[in-house]
Amino acid sequence: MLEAIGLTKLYGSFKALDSLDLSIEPGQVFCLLGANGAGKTTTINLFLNFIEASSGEARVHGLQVAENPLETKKHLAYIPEQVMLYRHLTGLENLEYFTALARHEEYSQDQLRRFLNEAGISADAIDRRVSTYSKGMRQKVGIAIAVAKRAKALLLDEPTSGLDPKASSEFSELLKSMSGEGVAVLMATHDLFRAKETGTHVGFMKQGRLVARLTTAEIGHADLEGLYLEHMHG
Amino acid sequence: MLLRVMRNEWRGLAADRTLWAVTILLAVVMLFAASNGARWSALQQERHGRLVADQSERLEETRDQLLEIARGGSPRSRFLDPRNPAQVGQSFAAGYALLPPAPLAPLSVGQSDILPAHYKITLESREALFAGDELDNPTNLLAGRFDVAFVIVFLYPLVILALSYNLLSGEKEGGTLALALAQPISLTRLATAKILGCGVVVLSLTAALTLAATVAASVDLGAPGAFSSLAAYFGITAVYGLFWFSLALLVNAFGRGSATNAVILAGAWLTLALIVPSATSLFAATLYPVPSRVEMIQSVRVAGQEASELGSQLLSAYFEDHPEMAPEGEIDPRDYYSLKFVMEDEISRQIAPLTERFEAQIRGQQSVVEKFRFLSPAILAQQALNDLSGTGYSRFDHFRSEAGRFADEWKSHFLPQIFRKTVVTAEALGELPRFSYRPERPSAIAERVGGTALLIALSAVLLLGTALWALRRYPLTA
Ligand SMILES: Nc1ncnc2c1ncn2[C@@H]1O[C@H](COP(=O)(O)OP(=O)(O)O)[C@@H](O)[C@H]1O
Ligand SMILES: [Mg+2]
Repeated sequence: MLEAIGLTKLYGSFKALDSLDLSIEPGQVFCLLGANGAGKTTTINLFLNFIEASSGEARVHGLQVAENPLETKKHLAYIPEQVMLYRHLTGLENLEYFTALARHEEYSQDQLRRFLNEAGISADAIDRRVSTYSKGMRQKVGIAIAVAKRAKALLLDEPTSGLDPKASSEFSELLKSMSGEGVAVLMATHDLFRAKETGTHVGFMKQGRLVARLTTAEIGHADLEGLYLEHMHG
Repeated sequence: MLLRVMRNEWRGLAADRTLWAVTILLAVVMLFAASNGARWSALQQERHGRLVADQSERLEETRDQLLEIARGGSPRSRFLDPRNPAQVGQSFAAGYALLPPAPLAPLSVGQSDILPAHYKITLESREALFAGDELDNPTNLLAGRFDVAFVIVFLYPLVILALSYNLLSGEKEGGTLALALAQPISLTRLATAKILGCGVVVLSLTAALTLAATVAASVDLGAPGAFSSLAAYFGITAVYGLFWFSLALLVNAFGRGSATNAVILAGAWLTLALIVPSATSLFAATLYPVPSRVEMIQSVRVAGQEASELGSQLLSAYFEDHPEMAPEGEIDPRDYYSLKFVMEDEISRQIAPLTERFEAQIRGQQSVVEKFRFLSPAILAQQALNDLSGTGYSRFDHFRSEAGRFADEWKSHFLPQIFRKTVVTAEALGELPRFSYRPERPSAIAERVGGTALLIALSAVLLLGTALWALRRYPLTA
């Protein structure tokens, strides 16, 4: 579903991403681990066509992103570190707007409410302005948008950093249920514990290169931290 | 989809205090401008009314005197005889050439406060007639008066910029741009829809307030041409707005922050709306200085002295040139009035080069403006709005030549009578030439306004095209 082939991003002569090869199938959750500046956000931005690849290609659902930016975005959902919504609108109105932009205008108000509800937004919060929402709530609206959009692939950029453990765990549950329904997930994260919990695969990224990849089934929990430190600082 | 984004833009605007502040401000300023324009118009009309009344009163009185004299009475004054055609043409019946105000005059004072809308037509030389003009600065491009056109040319762009300087930068800084562009919509489309949304609001607001101002200034929309002029007024407002929106989009397309955009756009407004017009005026006036009034009056005086020294020689020379004017029988070389008006003719001839220079300089100034107006949409918009309100330079220029034409007609009516010493009767008073203003061809105005609108539209489209092109390289990250 998500595929990178020799994907490279140069800033001048600086390699922000160095020939990344990656393939994430439906139902897989690929956790991208790495220090700040390793190239995780760059990878996600390339899939979103927010930046242009220097060489190689990113593909979504078999389509090359650079050549089909709009078509590929129909399949993608994006949850950044901070889901920023229109503060003067309610959660419901935000969901309504973004799903309309995603060309899903078929939903009734009730259905939209249900999406928010299932994402964990309480009934009374749905009609409140987003300016009153916590970060955790906004991240959940992000999930609701992804679900309503029926995205086939989910791109997450450190979505749980700064969330309290409860919110973070609720968020992981939502992710799991999405991947359970066949969504391919690429998540950049620093949270080794969550990576082990929700991920099916992990990859270590260092200075733009994917230096190792493993399935979470292969490793015990304690090992992940050891491996991480070994790869990052070894 | 487009409508979706536009609607979202409206909700954003409605939730933002700027729009409400701007609306109130614009409403207050518009109504103030309307009352200003209406007051100025009323003043002009009042003046015209007084002139008309003065003229018909004088005619009435002259007629009474003539009837009285016909019944055997004598003139009321020893020095003023209403039977003398020279005195009738010079003072008893001297009339006014009046420029009737156009229906939308209260919306734009334009050049009407520096160029005369009436001339007193006497038997003096045409030059002496126009030397009374306020020759000030007909290329003064900065509207000095606070009228509706001023609001549209100068303040309306500020409103547009205040609402659109952060069109994209605001959403980028707020983080919503990334989420929106993760959806299948291109930045170009999103930006276009946002501009449209914002534009519809600003334009309808401005149009509604202009309409309110029109009503408040008691413009008669039923007058011929009034409605189409007002429609064209809105059209100019729309293309002029498009220019400023396109500029805002272009500046946003560079991907700078909102604060930087605000500074750049404020600078652009200052340059395009204030600096370029005043620099153009200054440049035109420096390049083509107009002879001063003092110089003009001085020349008339010198020419007058020279003419009077020539005295009776002039008279015979004149009748040699114009045998058709010569009276039958003897020519009295000392006839005061014959001499006077022959002298006037000589003065005209003497100072003709100066007059020509004056007119050439004014034309030169206008040509500078014509060349440089491309540099500022504010100049273009002001010109178009003035033209639509009938207060532009061209209309006054046309009126000046109309008045000149009438002055010639007036003179050729009286001069033969003066030379032949015809006696003016009450009936003859009814047959005096009358000034009736022959307006410019409506198509001439339409061409001028249309041409100007096209220029504004072209520059707007050029900016918009550049902006949309620049958007393809919009830095979404960093
Ligand atoms: N627009 C840019 N210009 C130059 N360097 C950039 C730009 N964007 C990102 N980088 C560099 O690319 C590298 C990778 O960044 P990023 O992908 O954001 O890292 P992270 O893994 O923390 O998300 C960093 O060293 C960053 O400084
Ligand atoms: Mg990052």
